[in-house]
Amino acid sequence: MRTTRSFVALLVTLVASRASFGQNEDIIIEALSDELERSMNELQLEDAPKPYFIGYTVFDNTQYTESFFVGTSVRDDTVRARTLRVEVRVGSYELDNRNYQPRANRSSAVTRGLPVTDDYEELRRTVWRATDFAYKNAVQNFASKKTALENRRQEDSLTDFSVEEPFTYTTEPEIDFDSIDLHVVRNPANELSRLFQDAPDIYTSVVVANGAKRRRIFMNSEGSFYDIYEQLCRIRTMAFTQADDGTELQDYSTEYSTDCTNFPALSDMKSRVQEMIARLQSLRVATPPEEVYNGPVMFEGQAASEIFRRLLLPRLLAIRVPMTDNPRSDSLRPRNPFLDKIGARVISAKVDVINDPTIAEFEDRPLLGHYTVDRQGVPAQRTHLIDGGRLQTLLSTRSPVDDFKSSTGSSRSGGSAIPGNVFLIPQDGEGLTDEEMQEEMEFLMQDYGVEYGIVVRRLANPSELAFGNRTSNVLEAYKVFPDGREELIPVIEITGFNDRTLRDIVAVSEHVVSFDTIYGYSGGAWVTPISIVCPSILIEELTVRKMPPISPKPPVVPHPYAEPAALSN
Amino acid sequence: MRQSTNRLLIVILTLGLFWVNQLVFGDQDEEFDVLDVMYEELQRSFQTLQDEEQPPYYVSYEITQDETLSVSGSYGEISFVTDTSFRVLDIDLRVGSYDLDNTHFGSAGSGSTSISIESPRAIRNTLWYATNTRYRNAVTRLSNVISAMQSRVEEVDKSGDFAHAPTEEYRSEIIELQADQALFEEKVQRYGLPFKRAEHIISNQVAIGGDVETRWFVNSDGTKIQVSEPYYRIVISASAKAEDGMILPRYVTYASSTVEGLPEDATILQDIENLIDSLEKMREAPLVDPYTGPAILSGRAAGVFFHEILGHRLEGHRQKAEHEGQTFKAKLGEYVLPKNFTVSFDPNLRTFGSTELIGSYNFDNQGVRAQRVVVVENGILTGFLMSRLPMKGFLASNGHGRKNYGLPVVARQSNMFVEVEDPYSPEELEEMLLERVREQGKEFGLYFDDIQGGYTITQRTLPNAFTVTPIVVYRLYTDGHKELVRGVNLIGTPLTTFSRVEAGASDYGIFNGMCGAESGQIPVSAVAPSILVSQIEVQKATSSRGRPPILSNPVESNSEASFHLPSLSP
Repeated sequence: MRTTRSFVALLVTLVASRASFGQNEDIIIEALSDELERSMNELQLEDAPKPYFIGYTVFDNTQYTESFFVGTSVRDDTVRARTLRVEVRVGSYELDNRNYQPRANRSSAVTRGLPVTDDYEELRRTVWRATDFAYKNAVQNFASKKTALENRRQEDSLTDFSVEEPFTYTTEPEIDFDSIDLHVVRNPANELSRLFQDAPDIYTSVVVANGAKRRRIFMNSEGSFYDIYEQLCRIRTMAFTQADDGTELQDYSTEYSTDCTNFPALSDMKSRVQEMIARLQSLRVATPPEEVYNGPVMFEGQAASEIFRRLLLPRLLAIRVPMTDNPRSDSLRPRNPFLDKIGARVISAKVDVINDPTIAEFEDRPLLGHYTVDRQGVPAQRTHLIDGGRLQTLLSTRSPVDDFKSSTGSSRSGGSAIPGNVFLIPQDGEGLTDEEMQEEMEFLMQDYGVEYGIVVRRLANPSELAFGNRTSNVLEAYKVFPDGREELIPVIEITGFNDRTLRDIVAVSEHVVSFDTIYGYSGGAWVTPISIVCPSILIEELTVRKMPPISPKPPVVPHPYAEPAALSN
Repeated sequence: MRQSTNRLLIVILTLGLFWVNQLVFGDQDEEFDVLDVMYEELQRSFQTLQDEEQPPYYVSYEITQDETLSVSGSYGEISFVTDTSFRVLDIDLRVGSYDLDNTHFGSAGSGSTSISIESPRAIRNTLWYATNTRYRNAVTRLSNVISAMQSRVEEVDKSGDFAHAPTEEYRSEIIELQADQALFEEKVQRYGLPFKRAEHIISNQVAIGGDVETRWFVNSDGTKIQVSEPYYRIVISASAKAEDGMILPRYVTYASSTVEGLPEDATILQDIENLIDSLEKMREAPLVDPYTGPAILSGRAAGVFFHEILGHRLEGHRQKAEHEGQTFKAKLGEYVLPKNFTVSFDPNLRTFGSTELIGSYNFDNQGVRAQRVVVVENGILTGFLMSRLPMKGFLASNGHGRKNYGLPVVARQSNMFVEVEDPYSPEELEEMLLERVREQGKEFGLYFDDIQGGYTITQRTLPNAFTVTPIVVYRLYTDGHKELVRGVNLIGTPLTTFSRVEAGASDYGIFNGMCGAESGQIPVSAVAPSILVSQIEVQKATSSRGRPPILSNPVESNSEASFHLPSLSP
């Protein structure tokens, strides 16, 4: 365990160095470090342990969200707020109050609003009260956790908190952070929504502009510290329509940037939205397949990245499930099967998988999963997860799980292990050209006795779908015939995915492309973006069929602007 | 009371002069009227759907625009600023008939749709698709209603599912939000400073908000209504902790339809001083044990008391729904209060004295004109608050169908007035209390001076009880001295408690607050005199056993030294 003296000395240095930048905002760091020092030295209830760890995170947020419909504003929100998160641990690294879910709703990680004005006294007062509250909860949780462990046949032998080297990291914004105008996404978003004016066969749509910037300050009693300025601007275009038989169809297109002053060009975004509108219009009139298809399916580009996001990424995370007071319910919780598969083949031997949040760009395109230090103050690092299809390790945080006893610097939103930039790279000599991929497909078509193969180019990330989940997740798929002819197929579902699916990848392309998506919750201005760099993949056999008809009938009343009289308004 | 009514109407007309006329919206090169666009689209859908097997017999659209600026903070520092503007659409679409429709077992699934009002295209496109969805749901729901009816016994109340209502056309001026963020921030800082020197205040918040709700309503009967209601409020709350761990909250609120109508800084700062002072005193006040005996409720406390016990039980739909207690349904024409008590609801009154009433409006959420309703006249129950859901004997709405956007309309309260003929003076009422104390052989009576709010259960599956949560309560001893006490809630059941209401005084208190029920949070007011109740019951309030902070306040000594009273400039 580290001594109090060492971290205090370090923090004093940090405060001094920040002060030299001449910014008033150092008052936040000063208030945090003063209360951290006092609490580590003096905070103690009678007959209870002192904290062995305290961590503070301040989020200084400005967020703007506005939604648009056919060139008009629907809703506009701007929020300015500062929040403080306090984590207090009592006990020891081996056994403490965390990784435990008490029956009473008592968290030893406490979140409080902080004044947005830089007033030392009020910042300090809030930090003091929040620390006091978190410490008292920590003491109670520690006592009840120990009681719960005593009542179990087998003790929880896992260490509660990994020991990591202190790490410090500060950035200065390249431009005046206050001057960044989050409304830069307003006009482009409105322009994109205007595109739907000329598409009355797209029944409804929404374009949401999100702009968020924040300063994030972290310090803990071990001497780790970071002070980061970050931005995330996003425009989400989501559209919905129905085919003549009532089948519901939806699609989306999302633009991201971690530099709001350098958002994608409007003309490029417009083309992507126009492509989406055209795609939906084609799907409205396309005929779903009557037959059930069993045979090879190629996932190209974004569709391949979505397959990996869904089937592989969640299993690459070592997430500690907190124990409860009820051992029976704990034993019923699902266990990540990859925890028991180190060294085993989990995907095709043709592919290596690496998580590397330290890389900022790939082929001149920014990677959104880039970061330098994680939520717990652990530096981001490159982690070789799968080598030649064999699982090497998992991404972890400071909450050890089984053999994953130290952090890979992967604690992101909410403190959970979340990937950053995931690279799925073909092993040397295993990647095929587009022609070779097509040949492989044709070979399998013959083998399976099917007249055509299926290529999927876009798959929905379900958390980005805006209009319910009754629509197909397959946003763009084609029948591909041996003569190269392609035929759009709407509203299909693909089944047959199982633990073997990724091992059954029979071919991967040599060319890899990066795609941005989000991990987990999609609402709000702050989300956790990740980038996936991957090849196209060919899976030997999947089942493809028309989605069961669950859609309501199409509208009885015609669209108001489909009528010539109304259009002249 | 009646005399003041006319005076108040003049105030309303005067206020109207300040409102800016802005009827027509402009978007790029087109000018249009929101109501007309809504009505045209309603007619188009309504007429087209008449060819369907199960056509709608009634459709209404209501667009609600909410523009809000809110600033809050503590101890003179800003902690949160939000600036929001949104518009949502609610549709009431009915298939079947006025006698039996798709809403028979409760309104169809709530939920509003985001909508823009910046162009006719945006309005019509959203109305069109949302109507389609609602129509499908309504047809399915009616079919379910008819099937369910076949397997049930005949209903007692056959008054139907929807009442006819007159067609209305009304356009009030659209009011712009006075969104002066700098002014709001300055006030939050100014009002928060006094808490810095208050030793035992454990939390405080100053919140200043402005909100303008504009509604456009059209229905298939031809009603077109545009109303705009501004609402500015200041909420100052603080709490202290007694030595035994009990948290003691207090608050003061102010509401007005204009920023200028909010009280001057000097008044508010004095109220804050009083609030801090009273919290300090409450920390030292003794805890009260459960007690039954006589009590006086101040005007504000009596307002909440009547709102919970009487008001909610006179909401029309509660007399009809079979799961409701229907406490007063059979009491129509009978005495429920002393002969000199009259209770009415009047959403048309904008102020009482110099205080604005936030339960005011011109039209309800079903396009029905706001009306004064006398529910108790000279002690006798005479009526109920009605939406367009009829009940036996009350077949028409009296303009009390209210809701938040996204929720179905039910009958709700507006501005409640409790009037007493030949009232006693407050001193006489106190003397009467002491007489009852002596008669009942008690040591003291209780005086409820201020309350936080209350709640009540009206359904028959649970005990039909109410709770009023006081925050300032005194014991009044027979020797005339008063003692501040803490830690009690006023509880009871409606009919028993009402039978013990004995007398009212000539002083009036006003409670402006938000009332929550199945149709959401709505603003309401209650104006009532102090009342004497010959017997009430109190129970212990909830308490926390949390210890005070372990370490001392890190900034206490500094703030004590640096505190000075803020300037009182306007």
